[in-house]
Amino acid sequence: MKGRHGNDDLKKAQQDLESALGFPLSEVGAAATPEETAGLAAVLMVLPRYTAPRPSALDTDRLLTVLTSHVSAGDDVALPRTRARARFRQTMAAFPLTASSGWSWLQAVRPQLRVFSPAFWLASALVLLAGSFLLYRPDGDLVPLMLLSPLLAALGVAYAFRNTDRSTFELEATSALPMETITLARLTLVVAYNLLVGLVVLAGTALTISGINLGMLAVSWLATLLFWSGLALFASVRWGPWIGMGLATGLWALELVARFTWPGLFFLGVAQTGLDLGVRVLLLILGAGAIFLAARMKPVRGSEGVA
Amino acid sequence: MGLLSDEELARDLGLGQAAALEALVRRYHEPLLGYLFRLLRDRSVAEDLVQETLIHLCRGARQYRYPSSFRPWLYGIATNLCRDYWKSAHHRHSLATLTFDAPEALVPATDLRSRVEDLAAWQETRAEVEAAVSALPGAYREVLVLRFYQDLSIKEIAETLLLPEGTVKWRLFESLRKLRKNLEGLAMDGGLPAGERKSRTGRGPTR
Repeated sequence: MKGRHGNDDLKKAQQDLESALGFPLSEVGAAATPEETAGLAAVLMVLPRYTAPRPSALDTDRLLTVLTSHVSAGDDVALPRTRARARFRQTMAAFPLTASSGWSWLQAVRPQLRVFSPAFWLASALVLLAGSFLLYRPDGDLVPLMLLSPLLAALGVAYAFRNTDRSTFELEATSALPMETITLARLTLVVAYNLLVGLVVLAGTALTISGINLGMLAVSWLATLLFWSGLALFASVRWGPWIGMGLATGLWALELVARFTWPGLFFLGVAQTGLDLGVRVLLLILGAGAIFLAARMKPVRGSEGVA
Repeated sequence: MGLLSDEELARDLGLGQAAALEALVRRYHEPLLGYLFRLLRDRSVAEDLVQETLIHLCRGARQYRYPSSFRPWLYGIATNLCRDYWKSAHHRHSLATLTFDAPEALVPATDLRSRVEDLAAWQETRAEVEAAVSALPGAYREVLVLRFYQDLSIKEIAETLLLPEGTVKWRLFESLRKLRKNLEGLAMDGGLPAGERKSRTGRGPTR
């Protein structure tokens, strides 16, 4: 009896399979064993589980509007692309900031270039150049440059995170890349650019002020910038971007206050021209070390690091 | 008075009737999206290709010769666009970073009313079937989706893919075999997705 039931089951499975395929198995010369036939029939049963998204009535209306415009206007109508959104997400997802990714997160910088318009770069350079000229001190004090660079970096980051429009914000919010990584990528762009422009100003300063050693100046300035950038980066990755920015900015403010009120506490002597090569090299090493460590860590995500 | 056939609508579209376009779009928006989504696993790209398919349809409507079959023509356009996309650099670049739509968004509305456990089981099985189907080579996936999800006949599939019917039949059978193998590979205990293991005839999987 049991065997008979088994045969009936197999027969039914074969019928189901052939009905679904739309042809008898003999037509393809398929030498399917009874077990395989039953297995294939079972596969057919799970296929409906793979559901696909359904467009809403609104989606269809929108599509119709696009098509109607296209048909009536010929090929000149620019079709809206949902693929652009997908491409953005996939590009961002291509650069995961993970512990094992090492320096690959730096690649996230490139897609961020589009956030900045050419006017931004031009304005940054002009402000730095004009500011350095206006605050020029014949005694060789580098305070103007030291003050302007972080200020410009802060303004640049603020510009990068300005509220452009809702769709941009939505893209960033839905990006596979954490917002922190986007923050760091933009920060890197702004700092790197200011570094370049600052170097030009530095060279100009060295040329106009006699007795200044350009090499020592560069080391001094680069060391300071690298140290503060590295500290901000490390703190951002370790504890979140807002803590990182706050820590770096706060210490920077303390440094400036100390310069004018308690010179004895002016521990890093950032804005002094009396250069101590040992301190500068130490700052360079610390800054580079902080950046290296930051790149090896997994950053905190928005929910963890940012309220 | 019955509905106009696809072929009649395509003929009217060729004659410039806007109503025919609307009728065809309302009839085929969902099937086309389902077809392209199952081939691409990316809703955004699938939506773009649906749009492009229909644009091609509008452009080519004048060349349509009534009463030749409409569905093979339509799915043929969609398949070609999909193959172009597969060949594109963008697709190759995005393969490694493909993200998928959230399963909950794809669960049939009726299941949303069922119990949480059922919903979880559904999503698990759905993900397994999706992974198994997506692991099929493109040529096999096309025939499988056209037959079992788009309900095209063997003849229509052959016309869509410009293949002999015998080849379509063989590929269809092979696609099921490969799919079964993929599903067995996904389930560590050697069976089909959790919900279907019990439905088998009591014998273990064959390899």
